[in-house]
Amino acid sequence: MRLCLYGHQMISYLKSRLFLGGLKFGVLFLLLVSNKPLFCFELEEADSTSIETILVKSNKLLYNKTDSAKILAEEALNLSTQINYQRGIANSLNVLGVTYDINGDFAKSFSTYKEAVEIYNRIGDERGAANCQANMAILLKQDGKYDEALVYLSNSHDYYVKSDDKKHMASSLMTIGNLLLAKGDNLNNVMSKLEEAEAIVRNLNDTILICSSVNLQGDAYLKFNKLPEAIARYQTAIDIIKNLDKPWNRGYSHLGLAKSYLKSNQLDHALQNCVEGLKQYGVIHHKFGIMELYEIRVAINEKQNDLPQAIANLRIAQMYKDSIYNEKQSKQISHIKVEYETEKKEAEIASLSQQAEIKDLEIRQKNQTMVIGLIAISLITAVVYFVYRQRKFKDQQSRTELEQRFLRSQLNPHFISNALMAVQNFMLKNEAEKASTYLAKFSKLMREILENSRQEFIPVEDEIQMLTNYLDIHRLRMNESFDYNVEIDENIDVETDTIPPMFVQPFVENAIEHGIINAKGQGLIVLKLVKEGEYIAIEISDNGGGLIFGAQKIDHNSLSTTIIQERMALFNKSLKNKIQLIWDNIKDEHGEIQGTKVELKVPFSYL
Amino acid sequence: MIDVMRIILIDDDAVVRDNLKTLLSIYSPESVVIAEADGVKTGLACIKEYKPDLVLLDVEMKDGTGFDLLSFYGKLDFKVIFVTGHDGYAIKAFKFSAIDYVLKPIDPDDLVSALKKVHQPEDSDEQNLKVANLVQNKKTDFAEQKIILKDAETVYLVAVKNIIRCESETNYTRFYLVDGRVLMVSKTLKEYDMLFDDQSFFRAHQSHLINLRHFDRYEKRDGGLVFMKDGSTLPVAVRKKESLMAALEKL
Repeated sequence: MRLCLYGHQMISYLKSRLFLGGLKFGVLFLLLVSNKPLFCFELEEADSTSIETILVKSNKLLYNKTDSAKILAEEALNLSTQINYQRGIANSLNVLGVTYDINGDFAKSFSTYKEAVEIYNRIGDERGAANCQANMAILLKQDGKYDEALVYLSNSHDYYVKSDDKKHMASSLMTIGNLLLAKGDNLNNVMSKLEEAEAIVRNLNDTILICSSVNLQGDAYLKFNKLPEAIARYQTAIDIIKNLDKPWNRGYSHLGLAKSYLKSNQLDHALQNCVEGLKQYGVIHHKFGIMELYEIRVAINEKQNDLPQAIANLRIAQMYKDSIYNEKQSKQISHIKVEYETEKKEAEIASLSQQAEIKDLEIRQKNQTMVIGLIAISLITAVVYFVYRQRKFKDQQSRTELEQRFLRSQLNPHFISNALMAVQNFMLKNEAEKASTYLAKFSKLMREILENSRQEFIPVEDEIQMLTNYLDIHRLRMNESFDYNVEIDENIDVETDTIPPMFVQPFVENAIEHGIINAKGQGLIVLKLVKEGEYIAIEISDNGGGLIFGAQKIDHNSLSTTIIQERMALFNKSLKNKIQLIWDNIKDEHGEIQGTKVELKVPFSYL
Repeated sequence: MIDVMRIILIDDDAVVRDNLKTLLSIYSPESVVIAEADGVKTGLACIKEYKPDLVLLDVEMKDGTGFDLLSFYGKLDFKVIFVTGHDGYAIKAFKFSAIDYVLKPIDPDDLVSALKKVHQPEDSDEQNLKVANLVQNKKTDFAEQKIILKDAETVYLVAVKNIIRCESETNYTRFYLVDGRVLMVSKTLKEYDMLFDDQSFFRAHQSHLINLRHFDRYEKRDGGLVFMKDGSTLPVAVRKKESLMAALEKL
């Protein structure tokens, strides 16, 4: 149980160590790449310089503000792609790989590194390829793929050897040793790598790297249970950096010592190193280290049978474990969340643009429909208007034509010649006064006919005036052989009530020409005007021989009666109240005909 | 030398009779109005009673027309001058039979010239022929009507349908008849064009009036030619082609 726990702790520890170290490794490589003089195309110098500047900034932000670093790296990648600056693309991809790694997206990180390596190889940038492959090895190691990691790392190492880059050579050797150890290779192989590294760094006199190589040797001995050797190595490491402010390295050494002493049951020493380790790790808040140290303390307490202390320490250890776990979890969750939200946003954007498109289409369709509708409406309107105008024009034409025919029928040659003959007669008889009166009445009648025929409605007064004139002229001509009466009902206002003009005159003419001729004694024509509802009824009666239906009498006057019929039809077309006409004979109580009666009902309106 | 001319006035309008009487007394003092009548019946009786030299006869009267009166009377033994209002039909009828007439209201000059003609010696057969034709035409269709044509010596009665064509010759008109005769009449072509406007005649050219009854064919050559059944060929005025086609269709 304890062993099991211990083994698990060991692996976790190594993982964490390598993980963090690896990241540092990557950053180191990146910085080296960035600061290196650039041998790129001069024309693009300005652009490539700005891209490198962006990448330096991105590097600085990598561990504090990974998201910002990522955005900058993406920007650098974009710019590089735009000007086809291959080295810039590769460098940007390398930095992006680190950001994916930090965010826990190992698969994406790995593929990004791989892409970068391909570009580095293509443009012959071996250093870039080597650095990138080192980063890939670290990723693979985290995934437990030690053999693959070793392949990449040995590629890097070969380049460092070739370029005689001692520092990187040492670093890669240490990592190789670490990988071999994790893989379960034998102690000699591991130690040969680590000791080779130690030799190099001692030559370089790089205190930190010496310390690291010695610590790793301690790890190797510890794993193979060679505890005195392990303790010696850790102690050496502590001694090397005793006076340096390097809490991480010092904490690491104390942790190694605590484990080693615990294994060799030197509990006091173990506890002492735990306390010292916690002091160092406390400075940098290295949670994983602190947790491990507390777990060691739990084991010590267990061995001392100090169970309460063990439980207390276990609780602290658990707390750190939880905290680490939570951190990792929250990191993953936030990553997932970001991804989810990005996806959601993208989906939203897609749906929005789709909606916009649909709306656009709808609007276009609506516009089209509207345009078609408008054209159709205007066409229909034009057609309707055209037909209406045509009909109106035709109506107008037939009306005008009818008016002219009517006028001609009123001013018929027969009537005029009769009238003028009368004048001639008066003159031949030297009746100058009569001739003058007659002529005056005749010209007045002519004027009235011309004027009234142009109106649609005239006052009753004017119509009566004209009829009186007409009757007077005939009466004078015919030697006053007839009399006439005009009776207007009181409810008719002759000045303001208006009627269609000259509907009565043809019937008066008929009465004069045909009615009274057969009168017994003096002829008499009576005009009666009465208001009946919306009509004015006009009755024209004579005391002649009456009407012989279907006989010549009516035919004789057919010209003016047909025109009257046509005029009536035309008026009726546009009037609400139609003109009505009734012909009849007047009979006495014995049924004998006493004359003719015509009743004409015409609609009236007000002036 | 000539005796006083005895005249009867027949008109249903007293005013007209009045006027005529006064005008006659002024412009024809050698004449005397021996009687008046206001209708066909009274007029007939008057004529029979007074045996006048001249009758001034109205056309439209209440109990009939002047034509009726003459047809009732039979062979005329008096001269007639018609007095009429503006009756287009009556005037055409007079012209068909070359009968003199006076329009109302009466122009004294017209009356005087009409009276002068009456004074000229005229074969009473000629007047009878004319009046008989007038009365006859009144009873028959347009198609069967006859026209009086007079040249210097002779009076011809010609059925309108037997006229093939008329040709203008200054103020004269030459008539080509079916039987081959050619008559020269001292009236213008325009007058006959108007007179025949209800008949099947067509003014094909300024100088040619053709009877479409005797039309044979139309040929387009030489600007359009009409061939009549008698073999004569006449030009057609450019502007008349279309109306010729319309007239032929109507036939």
